Parts: sequence; structure tokens; C-alpha cells
Amino acid sequence: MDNRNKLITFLFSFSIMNAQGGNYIKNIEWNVEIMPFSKFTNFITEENSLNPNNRIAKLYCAEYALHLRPSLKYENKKIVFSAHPRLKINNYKDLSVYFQELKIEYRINDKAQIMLGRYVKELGSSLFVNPGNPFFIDADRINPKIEIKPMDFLQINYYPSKNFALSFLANLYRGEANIYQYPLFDFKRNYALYFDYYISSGHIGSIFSISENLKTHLGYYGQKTISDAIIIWLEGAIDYRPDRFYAVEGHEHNYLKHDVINGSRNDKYFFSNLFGFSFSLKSGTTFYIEYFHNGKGFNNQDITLQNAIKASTNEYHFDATKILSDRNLGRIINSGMIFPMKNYIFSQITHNELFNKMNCSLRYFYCLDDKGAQLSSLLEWDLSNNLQLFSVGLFNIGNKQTNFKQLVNYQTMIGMAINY
Amino acid sequence: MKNITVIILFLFSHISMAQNIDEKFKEILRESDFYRGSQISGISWILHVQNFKDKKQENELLIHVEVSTLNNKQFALITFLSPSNSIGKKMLLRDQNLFFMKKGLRQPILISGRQRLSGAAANADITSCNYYADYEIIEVKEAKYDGSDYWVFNLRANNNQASYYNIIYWIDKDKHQAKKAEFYGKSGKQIKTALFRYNNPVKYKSEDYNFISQICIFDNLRESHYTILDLRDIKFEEFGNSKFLKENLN
Repeated sequence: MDNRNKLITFLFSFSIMNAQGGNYIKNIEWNVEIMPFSKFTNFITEENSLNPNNRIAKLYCAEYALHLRPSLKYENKKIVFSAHPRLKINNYKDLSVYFQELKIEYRINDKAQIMLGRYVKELGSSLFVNPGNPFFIDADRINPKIEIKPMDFLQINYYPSKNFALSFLANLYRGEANIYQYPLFDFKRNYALYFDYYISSGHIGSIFSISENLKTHLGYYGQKTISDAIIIWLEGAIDYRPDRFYAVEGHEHNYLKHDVINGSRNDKYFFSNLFGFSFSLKSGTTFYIEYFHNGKGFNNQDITLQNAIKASTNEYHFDATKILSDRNLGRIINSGMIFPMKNYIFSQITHNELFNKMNCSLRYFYCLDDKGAQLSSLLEWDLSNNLQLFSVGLFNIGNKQTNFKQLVNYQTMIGMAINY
Repeated sequence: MKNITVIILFLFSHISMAQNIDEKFKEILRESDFYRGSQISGISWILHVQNFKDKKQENELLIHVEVSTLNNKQFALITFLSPSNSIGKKMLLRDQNLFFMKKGLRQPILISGRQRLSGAAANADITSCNYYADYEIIEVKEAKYDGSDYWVFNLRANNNQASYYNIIYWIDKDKHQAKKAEFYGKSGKQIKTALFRYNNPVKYKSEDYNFISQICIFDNLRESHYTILDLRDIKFEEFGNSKFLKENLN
């Protein structure tokens, strides 16, 4: 779809919303968020890096963007319809128009419902990474102001009691998830069965999924309130044949010295686990700490091969080999894992509604394997009922070989969110 | 031997009488919860929250509250309707668990009792307090307040996730409606005081009742702060099993 058609589609859906008038008409709710922001990124573009001359990641140094995020919900006794169109435009004349959510729910009776459409399906108990979720492996969640791209789902829910939910879920199409297109992963339908069970002081759940190419996943998660100050949680997964790009020596046609593939080394079981707890002070300030062991994460041999690929990039000058070499770098960046090393400590301090106006969070992630770290902050300041200023800061710490710092040095984002 | 039998019989009768008294007060507590919207299988209302500092209104919120109480289990779904920057905020209370969702969060998070007591969540929490299930009666005294006779309940949390450790609760002897509540933390420090008004005539199961219409909450830790909660549009409705699940917060 060209940019003009994209704009017409967006304006059409936006005008339908505005035609309703007011935020609450019988059975209809709507809301519009207008988000202008500027984002400055300092990234590494050297030869022999992951992103030589920025031709792989195509990051923007200084981006001035406008995101329009309307949302519409119609609800009656049997049907719920929701539409969240998105329009994004920036100073590089990149225009994207799509639906973050376009979903219809049909309530068969009090105990069953069927859902069809485009949306993000979140599962799990962790704040930072959800190894239990077989559907979303995007790395977008580093910045809370950027939405995860949705996929197309069919979901059937059965609620035998108020404490128990059993669901069937299938991703029918890749939707907006760019990771499922060449040269990254092939999109395969994934069929899942999961349950959520609530206990008086917590919640547990598990999901089993199998894909068209027999990729299988058993995810589990749970949370428990220990006292008025402490909450604990765990989450984990057992994966067989996951989507994961790893580096190997040699190339099937001997064009390159190395290749990055989603191959037979993934035909085994990988165990990932995460444990976390939070502690709240009486003031409401809350500390979160998590330890994450990523069974699919890369070992020293994998990292040595990846470094060899980066070092050999400038050896390939001909079109075909250069394209393949760049494809390899793209696959290292999008390996299929948000945190691609084996062991991490995540921590966060949060205070919400400070002076009734501000939300503040400070995050520190530390990789126990390569000793790299990431410091990030989020500050939201409500100037009025309709206007919020925000800033997101991200600073990677460590040498250039560490996973956190191999692409981006630091990033700052400043913007406002205007809500109607 | 006869004397011992008499003593044992006396003791048993006393225990039985104490149990009856205990049951009576539990029933009064349950009834007072009912007038505040608890102990009902399905009820909803609109809550207008006004926060004041030094008698000046700081902010106001409009919240939709849906509650279901089954035996000792309580579920509440709290949806923020206005102002604009609150749209998308939702809270789900399931017994001692409180899940919170807002724009920017990927999924609902479980928040602690202490987080619950700070910020906007705190006062909405008071409206859906289930004293009958979450507190045990330590002592009941009689007192006069504004010329009427009251039972003064001393309540203590029966689980470590309850928002307030201790509540002194004034219940009208005739109407069994709560007039006043004093909320205390574990240290014994008074945190809040709430005054309740009943001016919402409703029909429930063919009977006429006067339900809660206003709660004034005074912050004892920050004396110039107080909150007025007005309840309106009370409706009795049955909710499906999916209503009070975490998934509904998205």
C-alpha cells in the first residue's frame, strides 16, 4: 500500500471514531492519544561491527516523529469490537499506517467466548521478559513508549469457574510482526492450549504449543503475594526446536566463511527459568529484582563465531556475498531472543503517582556472562488531565563486544502524550 | 461431683452463649458490608472521587466499580473513566490480590498492599473493603455518636495481605449501617478515618434498602488531605465467569 492509501485508510477509521462524538456514547468508548516525540540515538557504525555504516539496522540518529494512537471499543452483551489504528510519521518521511488492534469477541455464553483478529497476546508474570510466551519474541519492550507489533489470532476461551480459564490460541498470520519475514524467520502457525488458575494469594498458568514445523513449547508462570510488601514470581519454558539464529563455520555454498542459521542445533530441549521478587516501602516505592537463565542463550563458542563474522564483514565486496554477509549480521541482531546471553540480573525501582503527578522508573540490567549492563529510565509527568510529558533514557555499559553495547551506545527520547 | 457437673454445664452454656454473641456480631458485620455493596453476587456503581488538599480540590476521577462477593471470596473490577490521562487504567481485586493495568504496561501487574495504599488505588480500595471476610472481630463495645447508639467493632486483619491491620468500626445499632471507620497500620498508627453516608435508595430481591452514597476519607498522616467519594448509578447484575480475570484488564 503506498503512503497516500495508508493515510486515507487511517483518516477513514479516525473519522468513524470522531463521528461518534464524546468519549462515552452508549456501548461505545473512544480515546485518542497524540504523541509527538524526538529520539536521539548514538549507535556504532564502524566496519567490523554489527551495523557497518548503519546499513543493517538502519537506525535514526535524530528522529522527530508523530504517533497518532486512537482507540475505539464497542460493546454489547454478546459482542465486543475494538479497533486501535496507528499512524506514524517522522522527519525521514517514513509513514506507517496499521492496526495495533482490530479484534472482535463473541460471547457464546457466560462461560465461553471466541476472539478473532489482530492483537498482542501477553502471557507470563515477569516485568522484563516472558520466556513462557511462545508467540512474542520481539525486542521492542526495552522502551515502554514503543508498542509491540501485533499478530493475527484466533482464540477460544472457556471459563468453568471464576478462578479458572482454559484457552485455545492460534496465530493465523504474522500480522505486523516483522521478525517473521525473509531474511529472518519463516512464519509458521503455532497452536496453543493454556490455562490460568487463581488462588487466594496468587495466580498460576501454563501454556503448551506446537507449530506447523513441530516447534514445541511448554511455558509456565506463577505469582504469589507473600505479605503487604513482598510479591514473588517465577516463569520458565521448555522449548524444542525454537526459532533461534546461531552462527556456524562454513556456508552451504561456500560463499562465506560463516553462516547464521536457524538449523538442526535447535533440535533439542532448552530450559529457561526466571525468578523474581518485589519489595515495596511504605511510601509505595517498589524494588524489583529478577534472575533470568536463558537456556537458549549463546555460549562462548557462539560469541566467538559471531565476532568472527563481524570481523570478516569487510572481506565481502561482491553483491551476492555482501548481501549474504549483511543477512548474517541482521540475523545476529534479530536472533529470536530479546536477551541472547545465558544469565541476567534485572532490577528496577519504581515510584508511581509521586506528588499525584509523576511516575518514575529506573532499570538496571546486568549480563553475568559478558559483564555488560544497561541502565534505563522512564519519567512521566502529568501536566494536566490531557497532557503528559515523558522522557526515556537508555545507556549501555561495557565494552563494544558486550551484547548490550554492540549496537547502541545510548538513546534518549523526549516527548508528550496528549489524550482526548 | 454434682458441683463439677454444674460448673462444666455452666462453662459450656457460657461458651455456647459466647458463640451465639459472636455469630450475632458477625451477622451485623456482614449486613453492614451489604449496605456498602459487599456480600452481593453482582453489583456495579459509578464512583466520583474528589481529592482535596487544604480544602482545595487537587483532582477528580470518575471510576466504574463492578463487584461480586461469593461466600468469603470477593472480586472487584475498577475501570477509570476520566480524566483522559486515566483512561486505560484498570484494577482487578481478587481476594488479597490486586492486579493493575495502565497504558504503557505490556500486561497487568500484581501490586503489593503497600503500593495499593499509595496513589489513586488506595481510596477505591476502601470502597470495596470486605470486612466480613478479611477481618476478625476482636472486641465489640457500645457507644453513643451523634445522639444514636452504635456497636463499636474492633477488627483485626485475618491475613497478612489485608490493606489495614486494625479497624475501629462504628455500626448503627438499629440500621446495621456503618457510620465511621478508623484504619490503623501494624505499628498502631492511625492512617485514615472514613465517614459513611447512606442516601441511595435501591430495590434488591424485591426489598427496599438505602445504600451507601458518600464516603469522606481523612488522611491522618497528612492532615490537610481528604477525599470525597460519591457513589451513584447502583445496579445489581450477574457477571459471567470471565469478568474478574486478569485477561479482562487488557
